[in-house]
Amino acid sequence: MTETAALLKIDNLVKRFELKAPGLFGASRGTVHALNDISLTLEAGETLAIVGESGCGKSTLARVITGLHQPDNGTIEYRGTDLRKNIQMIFQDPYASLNPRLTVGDIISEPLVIHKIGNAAEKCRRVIETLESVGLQESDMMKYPHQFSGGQRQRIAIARAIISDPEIIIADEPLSALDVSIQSQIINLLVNLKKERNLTYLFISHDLASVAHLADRVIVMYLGKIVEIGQSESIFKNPIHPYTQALISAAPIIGRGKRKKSLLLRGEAASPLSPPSGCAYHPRCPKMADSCRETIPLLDYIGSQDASHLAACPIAVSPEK
Amino acid sequence: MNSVPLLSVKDLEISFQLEDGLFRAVSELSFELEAGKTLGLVGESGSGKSLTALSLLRLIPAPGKISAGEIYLNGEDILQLAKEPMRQLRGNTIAMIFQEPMTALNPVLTIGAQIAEALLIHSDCSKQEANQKAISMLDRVGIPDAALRAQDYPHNLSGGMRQRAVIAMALICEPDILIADEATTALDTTVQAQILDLLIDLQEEFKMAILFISHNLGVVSEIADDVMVMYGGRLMETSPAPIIFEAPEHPYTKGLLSTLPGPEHRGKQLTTIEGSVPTRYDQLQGCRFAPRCSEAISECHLHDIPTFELAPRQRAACLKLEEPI
Repeated sequence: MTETAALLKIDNLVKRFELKAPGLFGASRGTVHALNDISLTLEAGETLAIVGESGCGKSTLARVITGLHQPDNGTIEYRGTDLRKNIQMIFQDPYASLNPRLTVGDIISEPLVIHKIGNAAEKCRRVIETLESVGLQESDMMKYPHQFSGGQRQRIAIARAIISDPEIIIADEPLSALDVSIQSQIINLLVNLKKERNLTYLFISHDLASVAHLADRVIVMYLGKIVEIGQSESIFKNPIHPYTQALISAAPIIGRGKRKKSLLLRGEAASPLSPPSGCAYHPRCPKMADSCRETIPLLDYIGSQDASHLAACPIAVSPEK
Repeated sequence: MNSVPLLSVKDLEISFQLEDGLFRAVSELSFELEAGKTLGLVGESGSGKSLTALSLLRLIPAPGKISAGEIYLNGEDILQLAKEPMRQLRGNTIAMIFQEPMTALNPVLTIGAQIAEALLIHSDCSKQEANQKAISMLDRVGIPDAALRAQDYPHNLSGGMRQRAVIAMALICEPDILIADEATTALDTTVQAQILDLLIDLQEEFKMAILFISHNLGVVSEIADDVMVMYGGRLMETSPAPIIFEAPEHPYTKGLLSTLPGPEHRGKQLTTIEGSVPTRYDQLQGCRFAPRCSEAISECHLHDIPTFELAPRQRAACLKLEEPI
């Protein structure tokens, strides 16, 4: 990939969590390797999706990028100035992410207060304008979160994220707590806001259907590592890594009829406390070779038309070896 | 089909006595479940699908109650049963698995003991026999080293393994009906697929009927023979699975299916169903879905909509379908 256009460049990011026994001087009970050498770029104006199952590190990645966690190693380079001001986050559960004791107006204007943007009149104008752009009304300003449905609450959370005109929005499972008929409303809102405001999205999800709909590029993570990355179309049509293949085969598809047993699926993800040696996926992998137990695979070109499509599986990338 | 269906629900009504009056959470619901088949029950939160499931076990939480209707199990109305025979039914003839396996398991009992418990209650086998059966059931649901795992407590198991344990617990008495309420919702995609595979396998082996409740249309389409769609406590449409996903009749079903994201329209606008489910939907006049329906006419708001029989196993409650099609 060219080095020029990246809005955000992340290199060799490592994040570990020390698990301690209870008590002030509790002994260490081990280390969770949440992020293990993650490198990626986020291009201006794209939607980059990160998919993976629980424990793969996708939410930790979001939290490290937004500064909620400090990385243990690695760098995050931002093209502009002051990343903190230009990055905002939308969380999964709109019941947990809004302070129940603040009015919607106070919730939404908080980023303006924190970043000292505008005077009182300007703040009020922007709150109203932002409320309207997410499909809510001026009169909603004085209400409290409990007076809204889940979908409307997620709109409030989105309004809070966009009011300070950030460049980058990180959305961590923004749809999974919502009903089916509400999900499409929020997807449309995200698509529209991106166009209107030139946003760049990092979209974190385990739902492949919404990822296929929204994402330009997709990153697949497994136990703290990137196992495959590429253009959305390329990943979904031509998944290379056995884990990506299993994930896609496991996603339910409407109208295919009753499911046929998939041979790709075996076992469950190991705990990030004790990831398997070599390729972390090897205990579940149907294509496992002896070398997979020892050698940690690197992301490599798969030699398809999408030159940016990489996979971390030497067996799948060049089967003849 | 002239024979008596395994389960037949007729005009079921579930209501709650609230401070501000009676809330009819489920109304005029009728459906059948055939032995060995899977009925998928689809609906959004608040559509009444979980209450429907609980009503089959007569476990509606107070202040709610089944206020009208009949539930026939093998031709016998279980709403007329006394307490003790009803207790015998629960877990033995009708078993249930829930969304969150951790809350369905007792944290201070071993997995093996919890599974054996159902056998000790419902059959007269010895403790040792029950334990042995529990271990072989754990093995059957795909838990490796079953004899060892039976000694484990729920917190020792992963989410997927816990759900397998819950399934083992539900199936130990070989029920005729298994109710799965959002049983795969809390699981990761690859684990969810494995649990679906397991349920399909077990159904073949034990010949049980499954009432599979989910808000996820994709999951339902992968397991159900017939699908029933609920909205606002009422049946909107029921059809054989291939038909309902290919050619839905009710505007709500059509709407739900057309809102689903996917690669075909990447980055484009999706069709939406405007608005959201009203909380006191039972106070609406006419069709519950009419306020959000793009095809609604004035008559839809006037009176309750009857359910029209469109074909065998296919019914829908929409005025548009009144004329023969």
